[in-house]
Formats: sequence, structure tokens, C-alpha cells
Amino acid sequence: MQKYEKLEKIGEGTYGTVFKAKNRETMEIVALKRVRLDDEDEGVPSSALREICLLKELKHRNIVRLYDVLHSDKKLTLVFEHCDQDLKKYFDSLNGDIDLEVVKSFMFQLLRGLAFCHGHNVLHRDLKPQNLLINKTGELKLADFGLARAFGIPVKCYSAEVVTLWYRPPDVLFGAKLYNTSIDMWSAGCIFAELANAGRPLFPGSDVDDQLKRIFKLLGTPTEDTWPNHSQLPDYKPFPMYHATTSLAQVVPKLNAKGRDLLQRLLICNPGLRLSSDEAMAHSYFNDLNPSVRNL
Amino acid sequence: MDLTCDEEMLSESEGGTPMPRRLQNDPAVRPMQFFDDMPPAIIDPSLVQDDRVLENMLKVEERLMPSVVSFKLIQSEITPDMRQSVATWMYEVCEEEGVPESVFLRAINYVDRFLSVHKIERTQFQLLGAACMLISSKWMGSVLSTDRLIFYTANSITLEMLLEWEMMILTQFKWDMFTIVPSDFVEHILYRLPSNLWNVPNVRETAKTYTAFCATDHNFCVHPPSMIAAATIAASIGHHVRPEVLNDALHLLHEITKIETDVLRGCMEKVKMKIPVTKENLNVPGPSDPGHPILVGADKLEELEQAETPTDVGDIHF
Repeated sequence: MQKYEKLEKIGEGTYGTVFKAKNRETMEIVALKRVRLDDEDEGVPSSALREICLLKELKHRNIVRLYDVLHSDKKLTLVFEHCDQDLKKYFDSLNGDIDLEVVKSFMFQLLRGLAFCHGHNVLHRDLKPQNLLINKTGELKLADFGLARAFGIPVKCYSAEVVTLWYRPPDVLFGAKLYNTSIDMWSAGCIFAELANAGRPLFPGSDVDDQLKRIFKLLGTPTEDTWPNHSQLPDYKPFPMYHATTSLAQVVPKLNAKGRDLLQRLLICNPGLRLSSDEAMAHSYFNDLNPSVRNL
Repeated sequence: MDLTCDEEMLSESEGGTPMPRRLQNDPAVRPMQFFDDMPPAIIDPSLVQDDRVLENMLKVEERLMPSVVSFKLIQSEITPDMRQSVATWMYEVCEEEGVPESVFLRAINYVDRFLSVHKIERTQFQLLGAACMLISSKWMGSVLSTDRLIFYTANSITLEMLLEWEMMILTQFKWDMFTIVPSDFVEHILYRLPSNLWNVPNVRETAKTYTAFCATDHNFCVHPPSMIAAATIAASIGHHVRPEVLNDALHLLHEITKIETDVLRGCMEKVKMKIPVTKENLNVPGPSDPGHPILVGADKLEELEQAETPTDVGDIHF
């Protein structure tokens, strides 16, 4: 890898390690993701193939840019734009305090990146703070498309492991096989609450049951009225009838009424009723969004 | 033979994801039954109803089309007949392995794109087809293992060759594999047609079968995927409706795809010429029985294409 000088390890992606590196010619800092091809009877791993091909197509200011793919002796190196840190690390540096303007800006950019994906038939399916990269300039970018799919792809059974547990919607937790853009919108809602609380996860469940219990305790257990036929889902099991007693004002105390309304509309158990990314971007919560963010 | 994916359908009542309320409450929008014969994960109402998605598809579809002119300039050994043999072989492999027709359609698009930029020998044609199927199936999340692909070439290729070609194709295309194929358009177009047209018996399956059908014939390479989708839908509808209704349908298809009506009609006639005439599909506009397969199935395709191991390229010794 003569063209790049490896600087330090940044982290682990869905597959392969990520390094920070410097282009020896241009001095540009990039992120390198290495994919090993040895021991592979099947050639390029399909998750890597999909991520590369999807990112080739998805060129947007809120989606991490893939500059190049290098192939050399039994490995692939993906050259990405480098971002300063991910949202998880940013949270860790906050000490429990976040500027509400930043919350609004990050949430808007997350939705804008998602709207672009969804408009191009792509579901991210693995949104979480670790997969959102941010820059010192305040930009936010969606990254790690290793689990993403282009729409129209009939997968025999979407793996139940899709989407880190904490950001997984109740329909997927109940084993729904047919899912769509609404999966990303639930995750966006969870991340919104986490942003507003400076990094405290909204539903940090320990297993699927605990995850659902936490969700229903806050939002109320769904009924056949609020979510028709959910009891027919493959992994459905009955839960106690929790009623939504805690108001969102207690859960996200710093968020204003409009912000809480947006959050409420994203965190809807019935996937058919969740806001779409476009609808969420048009929500009045963003009326007073700093114009520089819109143009960012 | 069944071209469509044979997964179990989860209709709403069986626990599939319900339709958005916006759709359910809108009388202009079709009922849930529309999706009943679709495998899960194919139909995402929120995407099909989203005009941006269709617009984007129409915008990018031509970017990754093969060039027939450069094919003729570049290839000296490869003939349209060989392409037909290899395409039919690929179709059969996909069919045999039970992967959806869109895997086949993407793979054949990769083959054509490759042939329009890279000269190959005829002994490499089947290897190219196998490598394109491998890429397409990974992209689509279906399983076509290297073992099986090699098996279908009667072991005339090795794993090393297959993986080498996989990488060569990906590199040649600069990993730009986001091809749009006719079957992608079928759902989006059907969604935008009125009920008397989309509830024509088996219109979706028939149209998709026809798209695979057309892909085996190099004469269809010049048409953008949206045109093939619209023409195959028109051809499927045409078997069941009166000429004036078909005229209306062609006009609507023009409005959806922005392709001139006469051009669509021409392409539809071309599709019809590809299809063997059967007693059933002359049944115009008889009472419909949605449960009964009316039109030609893939078995007819097989008859028509005389699909066997590619004869011109089958005698390959690597």
C-alpha cells in the first residue's frame, strides 16, 4: 500500500478493520477499510460487494464518500473520506451536556442522508451512533453500509441480527420478514432521543424480551387497534398491558414540544404509521433550523 | 417452471408488515391483495408509491446500458447466437437454483456491458456468464455458490478462474453494479395503472417472465429497461383486453415512463413476436380466472430457446 501511509487503527466495521491513513502525494487524510480475501472460496464477501456498489451510487453530503477501491494480493482496500469521529465517541466526550442546536442539526442531517438512501431504493438497516460519522465542521454522515440492501432484493429471510438490538423496531423484534424504510425511521427516532439526552441510549435492552418490554413500558403495549395483526408476526409473544404513563417530556426533558412531537411520530410501534424521512424533514421542529445546516 | 421467487408470502393477515394507513385509506390505491402473490421483501409500498424512486430509476437506467455498437466493434469471435446460448444457459442455472429473475437480468446486463468494453474469446464466454451470475447473486443477497456455478459449467472452469474473473469484472466496471433491470420497473409501473389493468390475470408474473424472455435475445439490448418493462406489461395486458383498452393502457404507460406511445407499441409488438402463440393467450377478453395461469410460462421459453448447454461454447477446453 505505497500510496497511503497508515497512521492508526480507527475501529472495526461489519467486516474488516478501519485505519486512518495519509495519501503520500496529496497529504490528504483518508480512512482505509481492509477486506481480506484469503480463505474465501466465495470470492469477494457479499457484504463488502454490496457496500462498495451502494456507496458508488450514493454520493451525498450526508453519506460517507467512497473514493476508491484498491485490489492487491488477497485483499481489498476501500478508501473512504475521513471523518473526525463517530457519534458514539462524540457522546463520550460530552459529559452529559449537548447544545440543542447541535441536536437539531445532526438530526436533520441524519434524516437528509436517509431520505437520499430511501429515494435510491436503499435501506441502511444498521443505524446506530457508531455508524454516524461527524466532522469538526458539524457535518454528519451515514457510514457502514455493510448490511444495507437495495430495495427489490428478495432475501429469503432477513437475518434477525439486522440492526443492533437497541435501535431495532418492535416489528423486527417480533420477527417481521417484510420490512422497509420504516426500519431506519425507528432507529432514527431512537438516535434522536439519544442525541437529546447527550448520549444516553433510549432503549438499552439486554435481550429481545427486555428490549420489547422497555419499548412498551414507554410507549404502551400495542393493541389490535393501534397495530392490527401484530400478534400474527412470527415471533410474537404477549406482553403485559403497559400503559404509556411516562410522558416524553420526562424522557427527553431538554427537547421542546415540537421536538417531542417529532420523536413521538418516529417511535410508533406500527411500522405503517411511522413518519417517512421526507415527512420528518418537513416537521415544524426544523422550521427554525439554522440555514447554514440546510446548505451544509 | 416458475420464474418468480417461491418464498412464502406473508400477507397482512398472516403477519406481514401492514400497509401504511395513507395507502389503506386512499380508495384510489389498490387493496392489499395486490401484493398477495409477491414474496416478502420485494414489495415495499413506501418505495413503490414514492415518485422519487421511479424518477431516480428512470434517470439512471440508461447510464449502465450496454453499447451494441461497441459490442460489434470489439468482439470478433462472439456472435449473437452464442450470446443467446449463454444467456439461456444462465437463465436455466438461475431457474434451477431458484433465484429470482432479477438475478438473471442483472447478470445478463453485466455480461452485455462487459462485452461492450472488453474483448473476449468464445471459450471465455461461459466463464464470463458464471462470474456475472456470482456477482449478481451477491448483490441481490441470493445464494449462488461458486461450487454450484462451477458444477453447471460441467467443471470446465476452476474456482481460481471464477474468482479472478469476478474481480476483473468488478474492477473493469469500477464497482458500478447498480444496474436497473426491467423487472425493477414492473412493480412501479403496475402500481400506477388503474385497477382494470393491474388486475388482469397474472399480469405481473407474465410481464416478468417476458422480461427474462427478452433478455435472452440480443435484439432487446438496445431498449432501456423501463421500455422493456412497459412493453412486456402492455403485451401481458393485451392478451386480455379489447384494443381500445390497450390503447388507453399504452397512453398511460407513456405518461408513466415518458416513452412515446408509438415506440412503446413497437417494442410491445417485438415482445409479442418473441412469445409463442398459445390457445390461452388468444383468449381475448374472456372471463378471467386469477388462479389459473393463462399465459406462456418459462416452460415455453425453454421450448422456444431449445435451451441446452451452450452448443457453440460448450465444447470448451480450458
